[in-house]
Amino acid sequence: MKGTSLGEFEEIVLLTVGVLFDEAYGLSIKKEVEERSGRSVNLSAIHAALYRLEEKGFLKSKMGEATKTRGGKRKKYFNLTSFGIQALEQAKTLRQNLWSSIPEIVLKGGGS
Amino acid sequence: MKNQPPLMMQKFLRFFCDDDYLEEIEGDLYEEFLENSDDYGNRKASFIYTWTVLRSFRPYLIKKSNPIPQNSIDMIRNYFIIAYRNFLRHKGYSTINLIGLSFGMTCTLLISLYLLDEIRFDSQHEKGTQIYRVIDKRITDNGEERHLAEVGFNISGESVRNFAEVENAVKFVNFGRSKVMEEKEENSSYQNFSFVEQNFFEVFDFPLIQGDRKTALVEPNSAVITEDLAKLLFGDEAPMGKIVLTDRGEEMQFKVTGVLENIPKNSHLQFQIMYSFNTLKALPMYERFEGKDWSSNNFLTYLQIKEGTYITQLEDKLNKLVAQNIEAEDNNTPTLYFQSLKEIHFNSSQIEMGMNNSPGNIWYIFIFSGIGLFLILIASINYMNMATAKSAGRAREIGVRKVVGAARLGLIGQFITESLLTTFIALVIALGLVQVLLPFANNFTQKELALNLSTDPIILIGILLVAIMIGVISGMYPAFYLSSFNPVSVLKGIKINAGRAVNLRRALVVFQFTISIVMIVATLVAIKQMNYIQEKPLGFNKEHLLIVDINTGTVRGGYETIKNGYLGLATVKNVSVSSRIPGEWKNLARVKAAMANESANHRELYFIGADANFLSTFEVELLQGRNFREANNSDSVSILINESAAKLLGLSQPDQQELIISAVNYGGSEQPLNHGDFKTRIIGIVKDFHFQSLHEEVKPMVIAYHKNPVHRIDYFSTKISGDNITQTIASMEEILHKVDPGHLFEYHFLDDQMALFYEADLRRGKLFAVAAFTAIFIACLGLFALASFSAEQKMKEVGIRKVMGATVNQITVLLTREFAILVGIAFLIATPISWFLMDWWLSSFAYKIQLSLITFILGGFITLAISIITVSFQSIKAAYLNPVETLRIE
Repeated sequence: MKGTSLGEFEEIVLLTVGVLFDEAYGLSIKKEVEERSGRSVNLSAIHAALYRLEEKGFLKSKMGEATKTRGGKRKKYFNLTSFGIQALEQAKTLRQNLWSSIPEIVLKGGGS
Repeated sequence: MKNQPPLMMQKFLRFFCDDDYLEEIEGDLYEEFLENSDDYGNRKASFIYTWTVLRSFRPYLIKKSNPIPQNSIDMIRNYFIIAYRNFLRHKGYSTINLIGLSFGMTCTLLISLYLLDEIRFDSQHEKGTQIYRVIDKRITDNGEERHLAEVGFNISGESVRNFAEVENAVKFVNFGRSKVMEEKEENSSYQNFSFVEQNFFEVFDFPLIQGDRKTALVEPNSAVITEDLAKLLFGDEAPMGKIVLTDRGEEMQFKVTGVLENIPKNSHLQFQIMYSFNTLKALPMYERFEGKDWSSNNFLTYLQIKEGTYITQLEDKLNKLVAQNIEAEDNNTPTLYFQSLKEIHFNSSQIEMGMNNSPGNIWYIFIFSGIGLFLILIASINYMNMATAKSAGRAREIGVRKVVGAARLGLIGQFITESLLTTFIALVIALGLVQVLLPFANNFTQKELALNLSTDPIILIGILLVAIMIGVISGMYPAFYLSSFNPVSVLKGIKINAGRAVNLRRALVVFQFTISIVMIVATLVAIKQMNYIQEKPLGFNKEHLLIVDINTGTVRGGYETIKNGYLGLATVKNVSVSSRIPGEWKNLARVKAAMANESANHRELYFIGADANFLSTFEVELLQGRNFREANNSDSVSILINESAAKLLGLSQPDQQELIISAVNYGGSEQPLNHGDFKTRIIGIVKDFHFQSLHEEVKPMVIAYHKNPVHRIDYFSTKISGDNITQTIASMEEILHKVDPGHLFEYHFLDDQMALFYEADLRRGKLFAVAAFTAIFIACLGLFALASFSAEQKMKEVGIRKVMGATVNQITVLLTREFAILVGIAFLIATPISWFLMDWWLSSFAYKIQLSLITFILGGFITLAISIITVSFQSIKAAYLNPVETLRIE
């Protein structure tokens, strides 16, 4: 079913939102992703992913407080929706199933 | 704040990013920027910022165009309602806008019709792009280059025979004018005596109403006449097959074989009657031409050339062919070239004998297009100025609309709808006015202009496009300006900072008045020049001179009887006979002459044959020597010369010097005199007089005795007294008819005739005056509206000033000053422009006024006066208001 499937980057962003819990907004998500994955990410990519996920219903958002460091602009905080959690679980289950289906011999580095 | 992200990028982000996302994204970006600039320094942070903004330029973030409201028809209806209400609320201003626009459009429409007609000159012919006229270029003995539209007999026929590129060719020949009558000789008229080849209608598309296009001009002694001439000669009777007579000394009979639809005025070829070329075969002179003549100047020749032919190559081939066939001793070999049909109207000023009676001038086309454009601009500016000036009144409406959700584009659409609406109402009024004014315009321009919207789609489409353009241009600025209001400040009642709009308004007013002043100065200069021309001493007296044409040999033979008869009349003071007269409207003869002692040195001089009364009748001053003596006819080889001729020939005293006239040119080609050289003796020098228009300088001239072998007499010139003119003319006609009863009595007043020289100038001058008046009228309408608006706005200020003791005068000056300054600036800009323009115009006159600063100051003063009157009308009204009234209102 298209629309509920998660891309790799989307999944990471979604998970990060979960990790950050109450502090998940654009820049904090970006920093968290960069820290954990070790690769640099452009903020605009994070925003794009966030809006897409919100549109799919995996995330919900609310406007936060304005701070001086933001030039008087408010933050937008994101939270996982239950639908989002479900999607993450689905993705996790899919992976676990796939993992468990890999023959031992492959993982042992055999093959030929 | 220490560091700021790149401003341009911030702006760019705000420009494209949808409001739903903007705040968050901008905030995130800013926060990141600050952190980055702490960590990596400002440059890298800016770079990352820029890059991120660019990366954010993604479809889902870009502003959604506001969804089109579902009830768009309701919205448009609402626009109309609001426009209508606005119109009613500001009746005065709206009317001013409407009047200005409709006046401007009327003038512009009329000018456009005129221009369209000029541009479409000679466009009646389907093969028009293939038709070329053959022109003969030759160098005269004076080293002057002459271009003649008449060429040798063989050019047409031999071109078709020798060159595959030439598909067809037609020639015709003009022998001046002749009297045309029907058989009973009751109805007659003077028409060109033109013989036209039978294939004329194959090349040109003039429609025949009756008769066969192929055969109408085949038979000798057949003629094709126009509807108008048919009506004049035969009334309501059917003209086909009827006989017409022509009288050129001897009578000739022609059978009408075709009736031609009247030739439209915008054709350079104009015929009332065409005689078949084959008629000429019976004449003895025909042999001199057929098959032999390659280089005379007698036959107007038009070639129909295949599309895609290299014209210059064909010209070369033709010139080679002509050179091969001309006898070696004829060193006066012409160079022939082709002139395309569409060039004839605008590009023939240097070409003689070309049948082009109303040559166009491409410069005037540009000038009048410019005027049309400026008039419309002035009217559009009025609209713009009024709309922005009244913007304060509509600010609240705009605020409310924006709050309710109107998009900027929608508002722009609304204001442009309003201006379009005004424009179209003005257009309807203008179309009506044009219909009313067309007859006057046609009378004035001597054209057949018509506004046929149904038959001429180009006009209709053009008008609609122009109207839309005007609507958009005049609505554009107000629309952008008004729709830019910030709803919060407007609704809070904060005054809009209108500085920019006010300055633009001032600039536009200056622009309007610059144009108006240029036009007024131009009109003044033109009037002065025309007066100068009309009052300049011509060296002879043109007043009360009645000129009678000599058209037959009988009259010419009996000239003495007639002359004496005229002299016997109490109201006739003097009579002279001459071949040509000063202010001549036909071709003046030119002779090739040389002094006997330097016979190789040929000069070209103008030539008039005249009797002893010539000087006294025209009041030409004799400087040296003596006049002719009539008594013993001993003066038949005596000549008078004018000052210019004396200078040219290097003479200071008339002393019977011998001048040998060897050839004459009546306007075609030069030909030797029939009876050998004419050896003359110079007996007197007369003061220079202007025998041509003042566009030309006075040229060297010879006045020979009227009994000379060069040019026979053609006119009686009579000096009459101002009383009983009709009676005098009647008696003169009677005397003439005693000698030749069949002679049509043709007469002119010389001053009227000379006025024709400047008719085109005068007509243009008047047209200019009308345009100038319209321009300043429209500009003042705008000024009036602006002044009343400004008075309205300053009502309180005026009230307070009055309470504090200001006088009415002071207040009037206060309110008027601003506009007077604007007009003053316009004057400063307009002066050099109009100086330049008028200097150019005057250069077409050999005799002209000096441009003086007075004229310019006068022009500026007139404009200033008109505008101050306009403005002070409002200012004084405002100044007289009782301060109690104005201050009480809140």
